[in-house]
Amino acid sequence: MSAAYIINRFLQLIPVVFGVTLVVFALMYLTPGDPVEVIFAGESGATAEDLERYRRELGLDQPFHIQYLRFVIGLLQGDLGISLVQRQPVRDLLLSRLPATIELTAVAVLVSLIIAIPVGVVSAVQRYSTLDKLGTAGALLGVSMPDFWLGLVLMLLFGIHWGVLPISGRIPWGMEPQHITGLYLVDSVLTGDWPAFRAAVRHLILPAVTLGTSMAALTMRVTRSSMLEVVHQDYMTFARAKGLSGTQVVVRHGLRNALIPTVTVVSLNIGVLLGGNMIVETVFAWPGLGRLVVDSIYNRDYTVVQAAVLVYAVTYVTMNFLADLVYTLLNPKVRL
Amino acid sequence: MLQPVLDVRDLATYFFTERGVVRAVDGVSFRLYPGETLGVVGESGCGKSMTALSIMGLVPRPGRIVAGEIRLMGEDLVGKPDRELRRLRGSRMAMIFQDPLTTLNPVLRVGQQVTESIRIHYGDGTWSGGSRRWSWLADPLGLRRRRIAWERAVEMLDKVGIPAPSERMRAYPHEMSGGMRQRIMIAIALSCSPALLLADEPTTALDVTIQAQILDLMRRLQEEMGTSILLITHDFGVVSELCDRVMVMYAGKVVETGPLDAILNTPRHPYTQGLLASIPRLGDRSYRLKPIEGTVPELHALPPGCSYCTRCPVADEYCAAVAPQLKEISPHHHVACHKVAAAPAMAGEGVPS
Repeated sequence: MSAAYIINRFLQLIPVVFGVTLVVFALMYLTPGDPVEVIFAGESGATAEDLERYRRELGLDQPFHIQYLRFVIGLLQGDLGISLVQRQPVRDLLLSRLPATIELTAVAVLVSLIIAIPVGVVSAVQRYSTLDKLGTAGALLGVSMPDFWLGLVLMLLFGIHWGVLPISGRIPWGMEPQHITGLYLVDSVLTGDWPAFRAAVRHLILPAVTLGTSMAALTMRVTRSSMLEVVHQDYMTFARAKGLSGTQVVVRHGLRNALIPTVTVVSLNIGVLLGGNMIVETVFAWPGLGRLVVDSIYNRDYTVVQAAVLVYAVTYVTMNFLADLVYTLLNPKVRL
Repeated sequence: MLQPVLDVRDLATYFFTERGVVRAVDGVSFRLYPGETLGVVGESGCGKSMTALSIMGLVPRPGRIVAGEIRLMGEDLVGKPDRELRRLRGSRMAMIFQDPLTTLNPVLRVGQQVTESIRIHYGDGTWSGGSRRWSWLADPLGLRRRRIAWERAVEMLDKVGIPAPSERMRAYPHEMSGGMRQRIMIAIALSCSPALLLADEPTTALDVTIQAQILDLMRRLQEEMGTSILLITHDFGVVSELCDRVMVMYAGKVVETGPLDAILNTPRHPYTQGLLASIPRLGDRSYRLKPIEGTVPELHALPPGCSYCTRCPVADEYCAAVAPQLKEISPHHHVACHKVAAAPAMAGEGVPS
């Protein structure tokens, strides 16, 4: 993999992201409802003149292309606009929510990989065994269960029936570790704040398992099917003929070949999850990006929704890019 | 008398499929002496590859060895637990396959693949390259072992004629040509100096010119290392180049076996004669190819008598009812055919070399 390829591939992202900004902006522009009226909705005594003045101040009286140009110039300067409802820079709002989502995503992905890869590999190697049947059935179940339902069931069981795990939020009030990265697990370890670490882990378990389950199901199925192909390759037999044990052959020769499709699926999934999972974050009152978006939609906070959609799109495109890079690392034949 | 490196007796490997029992290898016996090359010839599906995989203990499911003995340097391999077989695989006996492109792992560097077998056999008492049993105590991180494996691998690459071997160690298989890849595979197989090399169609996937180079290399290495080779092929040209003796297989059984000369020049089994007659000859357009009519019978529904009777030009009802046994018709030349007397020796039809 050459530096030229990386740069080239990176430059290709620019038109994509540019297109995304256009679509996002157009969608918000075309959405019925006047943002200025939303702003003044709660305030009595605002005259039509006030509204008009404010509209001018925000630049909403300008034609579409001028508004769009200002939006893009703002973006380039890292300015995502001001939240109409909260009257704060949208960037700060997003940044304050991002760590929660990143933390949840990371743990959910970890959970899913820990389940999916061993189960997928064993299922393939011992095809049609009881283990394989259990794994495949479990995967079907995992894909079929909607996140909100699984989340509610886990809450009922672990949170309410057995009462062993907290069911909402990231951490109890006042226990937040000192802010360094915003990721509570990392911050609490860095500051040696073990009660906070423990609390953060306990809060993470249910939402992460909820998110991780459906992802694990998908990942396991991909891993199983690619491993099934690999198991019958000549190089697997040749590796056995060298004197390696069955496990060594699978781990050293099989896994790396089999994981190539898995990487694609997992990275796209991460792209989706990093956008914040609206459903799971809402169910577990997780203060992440997803919940911010849901709240903003309810409040008609257009600038926040607009920025969040933009962040989703960029994250997704970036994960795609990273997936390509990892691909080339795993598969030397992809010389780019 | 010399002890054979490999002594196979009445080997039977069956596949238990839903359509019935497939007798892939059915009562095969042969011996292979030190430094000797035995060619195993036959059509696809005649059981030659399964014979090799049975020896390695790598018969894929749903197949398994149901009877017989496989003695490698006197030690019976049949029924040995996988743990013990693993010690012998790659060190005492090694195997190379037909297509070097699919046999080398595409995502691992050549060096990793060559050193692997040396590393696992180093110190287990099977690699003749040295090292005592407990040497890992003096080398807990395996650094010395890695270095030795690397040096040995470079030496092997050099031996099989890879130019700039230390640099090639870092290459990936797809960066090499087919001939180079086959050389790598041979280097891997011979890295622990095995007594027995099972070569399953080692030149079939290669260009003719490269084939000649690889055969040359195998012959040279055999002389140098004294390895016994079981060469599986369907190509009589390869057989005549490399083999001392030939064993012809049909539908899981040995139908004829003997010294190279006898098989090529005076084949007695109708199947062997048919095989030799179906080889095209260079420069002789008047010579008509004589293909063997029909196809190999389904292995799970073999006739009770001679498996070849459905295609044999001289077969009669007796052949269809009673299976023929191998009989010695001249020194070391065995044929399993009721009609040996009837089928005249096909003199002078050998392969031009």
